Amino acid sequence: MSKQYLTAHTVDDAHIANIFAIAATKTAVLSASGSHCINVHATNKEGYPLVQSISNAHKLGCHHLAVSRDGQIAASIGFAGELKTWKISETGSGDWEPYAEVANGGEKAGEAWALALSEDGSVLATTTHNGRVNVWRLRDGSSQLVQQFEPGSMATSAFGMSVDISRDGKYTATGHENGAVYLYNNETGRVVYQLPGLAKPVRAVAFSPAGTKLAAAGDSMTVELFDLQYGDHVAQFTGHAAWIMSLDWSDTGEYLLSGSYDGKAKVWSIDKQACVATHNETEQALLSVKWLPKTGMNEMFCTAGANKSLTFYREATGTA
Amino acid sequence: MGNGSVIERIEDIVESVVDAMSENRPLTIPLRSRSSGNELVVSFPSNNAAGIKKFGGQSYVDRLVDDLAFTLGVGRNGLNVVAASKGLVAGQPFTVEKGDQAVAVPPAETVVNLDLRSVGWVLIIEKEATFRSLVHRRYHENSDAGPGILMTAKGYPDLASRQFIHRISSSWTQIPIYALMDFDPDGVSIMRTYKHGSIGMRHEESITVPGLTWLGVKHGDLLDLQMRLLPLEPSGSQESQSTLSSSQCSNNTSSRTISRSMSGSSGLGEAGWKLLSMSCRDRAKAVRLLGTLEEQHHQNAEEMEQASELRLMLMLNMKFEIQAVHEAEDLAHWLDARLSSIRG
Repeated sequence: MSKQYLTAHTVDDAHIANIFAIAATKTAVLSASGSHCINVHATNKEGYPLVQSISNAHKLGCHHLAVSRDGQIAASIGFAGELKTWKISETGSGDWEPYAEVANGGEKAGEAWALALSEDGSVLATTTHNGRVNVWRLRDGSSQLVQQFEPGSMATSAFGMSVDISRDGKYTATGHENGAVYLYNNETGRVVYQLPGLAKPVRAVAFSPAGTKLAAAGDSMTVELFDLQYGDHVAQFTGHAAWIMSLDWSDTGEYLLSGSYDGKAKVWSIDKQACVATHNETEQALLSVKWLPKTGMNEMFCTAGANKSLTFYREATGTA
Repeated sequence: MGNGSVIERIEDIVESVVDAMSENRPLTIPLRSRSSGNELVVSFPSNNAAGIKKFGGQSYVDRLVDDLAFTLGVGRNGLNVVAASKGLVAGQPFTVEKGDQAVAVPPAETVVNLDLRSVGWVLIIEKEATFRSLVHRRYHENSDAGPGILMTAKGYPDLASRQFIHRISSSWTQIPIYALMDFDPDGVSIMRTYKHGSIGMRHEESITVPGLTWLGVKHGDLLDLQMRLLPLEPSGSQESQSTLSSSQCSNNTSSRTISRSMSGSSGLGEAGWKLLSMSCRDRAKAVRLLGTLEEQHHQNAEEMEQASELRLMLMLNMKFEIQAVHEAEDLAHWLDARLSSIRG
């Protein structure tokens, strides 16, 4: 049975440049692009209006952006290599403002690349160009480096292209340019699994909400699903015809959303192990796709990329 | 500036030397550095052995000639110093008697006398191998866009090549000039050198081509080429083609390469197109170029596009190189399509 999603709204030219990353809270979508600002569009208001634009967030533009599930903490990395964190203002304005300084964000090209935040925003993980993973604890406006996973071999030293943190903050997963996928324990600092690789760059890794599964995807054009209890490869989703740039789990863990370089967004049913919806609003690359945290009856997701727009989809009511 | 005023300036310097000798002062010659614009005072006899070196090699001589030209406020031509070009050109006006061989880029002065009425376009190509493939296929004669001129300066262009292409653009303003570069930071940088000049050569006049159009390769072409050259196969079957090596990124000389042969069944030679991952040097170069572009107060559409492509290179961590191709069919077809879409 396929699912129906309708285009709910499109914010045309949400940025003046390619949108590289989006992140969703219960009330807003944050977006980062080749421009210097991070934009915040309200998702709980008619017409998805721009409610804040953090100007000069990243001088050369921003390539990665994440927000904690509680919607309080955000983090972003710019093309000059700088890492910044943000929090919701305590004044009650709902605006984002600078948060903790994270030392060693690095000014070197590609020093910090991908990033992820835990559910409450207290744990931040970043990857580096040479495959290192840094795990920080953020607290009261300061940051502390708590783990550093060093490349242990030639294989792990490949570019860390993607990272995710389990919701409880206990585990970090990374996807590398050489196709390797690693699962680390943030408390012990050890590798839990080296998962069977994809042999091609892994551009997205994502923990399921319960932390029991990990999805990975990239230039292999497939989505690989791993069970984390024993590190088994449990499913492979085929159907994309271009590099997969982004992955996200739905709130319930029933569905996976993927976006690819040829502009296609797909929704996969974990239960049925099949694609249940494909959307193709643009032929330009999708660089980031995200479900919106469920607030109403219907599931919603947002896609963004080279067409500089934010496109919102809503699940059609009733069954097709 | 004419030779007369150059001689005047040299005479000024000689005069000051003679004055210094007659007044028993130390001899000094002011030489301006192109990088800083500051005057370096060269004293004789110099106690600082490093101040005056013997002519070490061509690049040292080149640097001195350029500094001297800068000091005197003229281009190299003003000193009657003309370097032989490393560039190559092919096209009807430059065809030698025996056929389709490319010739060395001629001195810019000769271009004004050339009849380029039959020339519909000029294509500047980054790589010599690509240039030779297209010349071999006689693309300058049988392009869908009509007869044109192919040119390469084998990477970053030398002065003579830039003067030559500038002369074409200023003498024959209706002829569009295109650039075919790799999808990598050097490709963007080389294109910009043709278009806007380089910082070290600001004192040279008549060497830029502001109207140059960047034909590709751009990020949008990757998908096109991926689709065209990589037929969809069941997942996993392509993995055997992957060669894989990696090394620490801190070492600039060894680029991590994950090269994937993108040649499918389309007949393009094995080494026709190459997707490579960016090296640390590539990434640093891209970030530097982005910084340069962002410093401009009013970015025009072309500069915004350049910045956008550089960011996508970084995001994808990929570069795309056009290699030598034996049968340049696909490249020629791609160029035909690209030229016709751009010319409307």
